[in-house]
Amino acid sequence: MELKKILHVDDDEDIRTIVQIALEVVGQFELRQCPDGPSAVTAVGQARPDLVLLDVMMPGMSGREVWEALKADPATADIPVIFVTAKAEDDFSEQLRADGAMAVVTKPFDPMTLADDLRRIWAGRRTAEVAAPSELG
Amino acid sequence: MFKRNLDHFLLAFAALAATFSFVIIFSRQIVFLRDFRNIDRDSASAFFTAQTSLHFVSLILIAFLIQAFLRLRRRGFERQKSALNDRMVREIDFRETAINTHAIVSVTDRDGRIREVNENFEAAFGYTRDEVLGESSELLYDRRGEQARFEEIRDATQAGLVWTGEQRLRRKSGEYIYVNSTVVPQFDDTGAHVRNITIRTDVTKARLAEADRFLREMLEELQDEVYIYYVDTLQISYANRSARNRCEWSREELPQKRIADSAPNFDENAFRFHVQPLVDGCREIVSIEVMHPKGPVEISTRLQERADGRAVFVSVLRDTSWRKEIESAKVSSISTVSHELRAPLTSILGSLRLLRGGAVGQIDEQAASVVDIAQRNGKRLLSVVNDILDIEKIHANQMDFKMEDVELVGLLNEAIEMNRGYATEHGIGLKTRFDMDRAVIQGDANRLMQVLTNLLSNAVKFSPDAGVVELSASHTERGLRVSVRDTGPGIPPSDQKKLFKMFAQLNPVDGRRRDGTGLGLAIVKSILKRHQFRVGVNSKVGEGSEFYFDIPRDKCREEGGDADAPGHERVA
Repeated sequence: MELKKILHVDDDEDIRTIVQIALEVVGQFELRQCPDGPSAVTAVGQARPDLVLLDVMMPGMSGREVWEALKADPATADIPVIFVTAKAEDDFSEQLRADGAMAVVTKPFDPMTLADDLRRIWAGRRTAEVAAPSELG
Repeated sequence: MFKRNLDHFLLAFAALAATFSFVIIFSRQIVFLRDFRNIDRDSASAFFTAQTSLHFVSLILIAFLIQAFLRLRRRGFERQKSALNDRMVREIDFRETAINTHAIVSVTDRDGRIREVNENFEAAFGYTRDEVLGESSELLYDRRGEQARFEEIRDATQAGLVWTGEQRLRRKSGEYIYVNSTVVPQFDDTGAHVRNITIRTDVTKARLAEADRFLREMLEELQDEVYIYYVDTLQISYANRSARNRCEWSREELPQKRIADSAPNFDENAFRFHVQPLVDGCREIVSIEVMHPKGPVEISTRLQERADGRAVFVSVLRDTSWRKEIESAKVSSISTVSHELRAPLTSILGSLRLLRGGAVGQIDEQAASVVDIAQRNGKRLLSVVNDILDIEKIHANQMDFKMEDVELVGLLNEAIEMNRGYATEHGIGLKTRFDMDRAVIQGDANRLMQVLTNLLSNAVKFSPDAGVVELSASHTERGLRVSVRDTGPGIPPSDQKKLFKMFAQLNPVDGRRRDGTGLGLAIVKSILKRHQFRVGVNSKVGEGSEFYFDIPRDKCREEGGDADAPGHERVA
């Protein structure tokens, strides 16, 4: 299945803008964005995206709590999630992957290559962490 | 003797004569009184004349007797006096001998110049008699602490007072000697101060023993564990109460214990490697943080020489769990700060990247160059944030190290591949030289890759145009050495010590400044320290630099290849 619809969740408006340009303009994806966890849970149920791009540290409901809520609902449990985090502890990223996350993207990421990175991950060619700072171009 | 016998003879003779004359006179008197009535006048006169003569003779004899007696008595007194004098002289000699045998004795004139010393003085101070005679006794005084004492003694003795007290003086060798001193001034018949006699007792051993006892009592009460053990045998000489309690040792069994008995899995080879800088004299103290059965501990070790000349290690083992908690809290706040810095950097760098990449419309060349500057500095800021986070995590022991078998040659080749792009960008060639085909080491591959990347990128940065950086792995006496060598400007010895410190601000000898956070080598050192690999640098100004780390033999093993064969060289 081709990756088309992505739901992006981040409380930072500036980052939402950058991701929007990166995925809509550069990546040509169908993108929907949410500023917090509760609205994301509702939106996923309604929009049924192919992939959820989820910020980890958000006020109120954290990215991990959103993911737990999605997994708890059979209708959304199998929707793949890629986390976006500035929390760079290796063990934290590994734990997310071990728990079933498709990948972990570290902030800051390269918006010019973000769409390609997601396509590669989607295609199963890359499951490791992407956009390490040294790769920023 | 003859005179004394004569006196005795005269005395005896006078006594006999006097007795005889009195007997005669007395008997004649009796006879006279009996016959008085029948005697005539002439006879009476003759009798009284004779009797008077006899009385006269008797008186002379009595005078002799008294004189002889007096002479004898006087001689007796003289004999007694002479005997007393002899005894006193012997007593003084005896006392002088006793003092000379026991004490350090010196005589100084009124100006403080040494005029006489005994053998004990020579032995105690290490000077020969000839070396000190005529010298001022200031020679023995510690110029910093005891100079005022010298003047105090001089003033007291000149005022006629005896001075007594403890002094710390200096031997010829420069060592301290502690003495109890009594300084007695002497005066001539006119009352002028002519000299001092100083009697000293060496109390150095007692003082040191007291200091030692004080030190041990203090060590006994410490919460930290203290071990003192011999460098050659690693046998315990002393362990304080905390140490004995944890190890369940009694005082009596300490001499049978070795430091290896203080912890399960004590690795003696690793320990010898750890303390080698102390033995080599390169370091005064070495420290290591380890996980102990009772929690995280820091062990600091020094090399000391005991009074008997044997070298000992002194290790202090400190519980650092409380410090870990503080550091953990600190790392937590640093992580938060890092997150708060990374989030806006994501927006800044992301926006610049979209702008530069043309995602929001094309920009002209001049605008692009300005965006490049912003991007470059944004990345630099990001590097600083990442490095600070890394180093704080390492210091707080919060960075995970996954120690496992790592194939060294493969890792080095991978590092070359990863850094090839950066080197090419700078026009620098990369070259390898490995003395083995395969070598398996104990380490964290990711962290070691971080070390190699840091060292290689530094070497590339500092290489001259079209230079070559060599990455090598070679055998050493103690294991393996990995080196990164460049042909850059080199580092002056004064700067080499600062290299591995955080934010070390060095002035490049070629005057060119390079980008960098000033934290790379500090991270390298911290990561290698956790591996127990020793990092170092060899460099000469104008001849380039070699940064290396040594992997101890117990943390590496070679697989295949010939250790003695010439190295495999490759130019990338």
